[in-house]
Amino acid sequence: MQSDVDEDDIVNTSHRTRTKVSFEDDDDYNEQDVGDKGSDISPPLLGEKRTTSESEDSVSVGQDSVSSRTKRRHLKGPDSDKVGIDDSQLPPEQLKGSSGGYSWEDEYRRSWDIVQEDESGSLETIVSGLVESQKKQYLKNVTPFQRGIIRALVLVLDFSKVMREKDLRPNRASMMISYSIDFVNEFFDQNPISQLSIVIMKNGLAQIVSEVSGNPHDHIEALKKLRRMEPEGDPSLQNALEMSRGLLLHVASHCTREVLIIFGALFTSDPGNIHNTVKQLIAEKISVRVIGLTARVAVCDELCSLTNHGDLKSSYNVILNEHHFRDLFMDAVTPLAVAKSESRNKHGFTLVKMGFPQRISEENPSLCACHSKLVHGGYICPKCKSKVCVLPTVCPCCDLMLILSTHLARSYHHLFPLLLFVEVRISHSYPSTRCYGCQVGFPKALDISQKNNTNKKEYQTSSRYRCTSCGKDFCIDCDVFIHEVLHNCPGCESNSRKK
Amino acid sequence: MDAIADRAFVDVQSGKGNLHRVVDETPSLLIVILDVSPLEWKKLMDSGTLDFKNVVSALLVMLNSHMALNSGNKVALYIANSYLHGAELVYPWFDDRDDSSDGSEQNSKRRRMNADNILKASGIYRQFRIVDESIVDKLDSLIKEEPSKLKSMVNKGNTHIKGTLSGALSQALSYINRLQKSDEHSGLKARVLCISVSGDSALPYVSIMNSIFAAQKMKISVDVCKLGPDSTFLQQASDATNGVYIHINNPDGLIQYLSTALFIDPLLRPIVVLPTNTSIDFRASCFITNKLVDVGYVCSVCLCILSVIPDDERCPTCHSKFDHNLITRLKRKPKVLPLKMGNKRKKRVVDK
Repeated sequence: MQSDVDEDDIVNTSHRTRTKVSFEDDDDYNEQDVGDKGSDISPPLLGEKRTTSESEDSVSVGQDSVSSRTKRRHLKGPDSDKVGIDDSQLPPEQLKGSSGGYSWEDEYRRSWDIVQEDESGSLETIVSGLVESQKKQYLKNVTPFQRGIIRALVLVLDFSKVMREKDLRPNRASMMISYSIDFVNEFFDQNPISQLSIVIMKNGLAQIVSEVSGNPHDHIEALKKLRRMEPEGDPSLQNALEMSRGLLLHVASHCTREVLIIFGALFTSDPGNIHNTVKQLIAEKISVRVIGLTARVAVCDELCSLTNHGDLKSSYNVILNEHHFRDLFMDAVTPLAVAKSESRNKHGFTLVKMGFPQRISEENPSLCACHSKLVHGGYICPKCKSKVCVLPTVCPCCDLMLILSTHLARSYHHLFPLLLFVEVRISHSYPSTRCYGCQVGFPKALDISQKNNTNKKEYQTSSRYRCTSCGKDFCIDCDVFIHEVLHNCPGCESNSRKK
Repeated sequence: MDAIADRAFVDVQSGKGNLHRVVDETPSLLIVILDVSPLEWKKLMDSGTLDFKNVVSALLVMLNSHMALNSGNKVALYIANSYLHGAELVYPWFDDRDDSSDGSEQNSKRRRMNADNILKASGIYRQFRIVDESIVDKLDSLIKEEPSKLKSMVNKGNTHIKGTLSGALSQALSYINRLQKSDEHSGLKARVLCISVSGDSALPYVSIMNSIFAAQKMKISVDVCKLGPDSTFLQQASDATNGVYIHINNPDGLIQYLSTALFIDPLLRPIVVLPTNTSIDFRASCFITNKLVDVGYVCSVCLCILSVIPDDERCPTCHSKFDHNLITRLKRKPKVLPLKMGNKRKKRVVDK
């Protein structure tokens, strides 16, 4: 039975403003993304509770420090100030424009209006404020949630004819594929012991692009082949979900089961009742995330909220522009937090037996146990001493899971996130003159004798960001670097004594 | 057949562009992290094979020769595992007390006198002299102050040292990050050399791994010059970052090692066969006993590695409760094999 759902029935009233993207919009979606993700999420299991609402830390610390974001709001005149206050109370903030109405009723905001000279006629203040606030965007939720680290994910790509649209350059399909390749790389970089599979929706059917596997190269090759194909026909959510269900059926119980759908169309053409499929997905604890390319669709709304314990905010999003598309895509790299209700239902977590093999190199090549190929060197299974050539894998002889300890270590920063640094208030003297990380000099402290000079950059922010546990100060560049790349506080690591 | 050694030659022949890139004279930064853990050094000095002075003089020769290669080359030196300072930048030395110019002048005079006594050389190239002087002076004061500090700590019953190698590495990486992002040094190549004397027990696992991945992402090689006991983590560090790991058995020839095997510029890495060992121990450390394990249990929630199943069936790190049935199954397995009636029991396990 072919029950084509009429487009009008499921298109929600929500709307995207692709043309009207300005700084303000960028800000809003970030706010929304980082916002209270954990309404239904179990309390932190590791360490003490660290509550960090993004608005407290990232935006402004104390009244004295003129945060760059508030500064920007001031510059936009009284209208935009209202939004600053109302932001938190209006739930669908994505829809609201700066005048409080819908964003399409809003005036067109030009990004160059933000840039205004200060009293001395210099642009330095505003520019450096913008630069710093842009750097601050990394700030995310650092509450150490319990996360499903060992993941199995099915990436469902819409490959129907709507993907030929050229609103994303060069067209939706090719942009989606290039982002998918980035996603696959990043996914395996951060989740090295997880597995992935790719499915496309085309001609009302679901087709497998790559089978469930832990090898990024397979997926990337498959995606590159996909580039040569043309998007065709209608998408079918139900078929894709059923296929994902099948792919995730054999996944071990300690893995999380996830589906990530990139959905460009506003309709789905299904062979049966999709609601039954959704029920089955819930029963099998598969969580579905959707990234919409056009507008919110009611059936996706329902699908996401039902399979994510009502947490619609992080699971269903519609893109605003290319940049936002990429951000949403990359958000899916971070492992999902385990919902409270889920962990309560379980009667315990699993302990997985794993082997850490030794690498050897040989003068003469020998056959590997996994592919029966002649290779120089390889890894020796610690249990049965057979030789395998790639890791991570399951030993073909004794079924022991073989991984490198470095693979495990790669995921640690998801579990033990580094505390956010706090901006130091402006004062007349600071304990530090240099950034502890890179030794760059800080601007000098406020001089009491020159009160009139408050417009200068160094008097508006202290440019110091302090680690709360070791009390060392860092510059904004190091702050970003430490939280995005290093995940280690140099100050805390450098103390020679344990506290 | 991808022999590890073959690749290098193929690269040179296949692309002539590569060769061109090699002669490209981008300045490079050499960061040395010197492990100065006093207890470990005492052990090594007592065994009579190694002298701190010799190591430092070899190190100075290395730093000087790195600067001699290109006028734009830079060096930096961090110390790690010190009881007095923790991890700290020794050179370049930033003096912030610029207001007391009189004092700083005296200071530099004193430093020069002090360094002259130790270096016993005159007429050195000025750039070398600046580096040598400040390093020698700093290390000298460190050696003088360290014993009293250590004693006072031992008296208080506190001998715990946090593995500050990770701290020095973190600082070094953020220093490199800033230099590479600044306009004046954009495109600066960098590498890190760790001269390490302490074993693995002094290293905090998670933070050293985080630093390794950061280095890997930034494409910075971490070379390791290992004196004293072998270190698994540092082996993994150099392996992951395409660096060189050398365990030095004859410290007398240290200068030879430092100026050849550990002196490979980042630009040359793609075409040089690295003198590193290819057999690497990838074992991990158990979170409870701190022992190295080759087969372990991994908590599916927090990925901590356990060598034994905890008695209370809870993860020691994240306190999640393990599935009781599964634990009993994991525990039962080894009992089955050596017994004669093993077959019967084994069947039962399978039936379950």
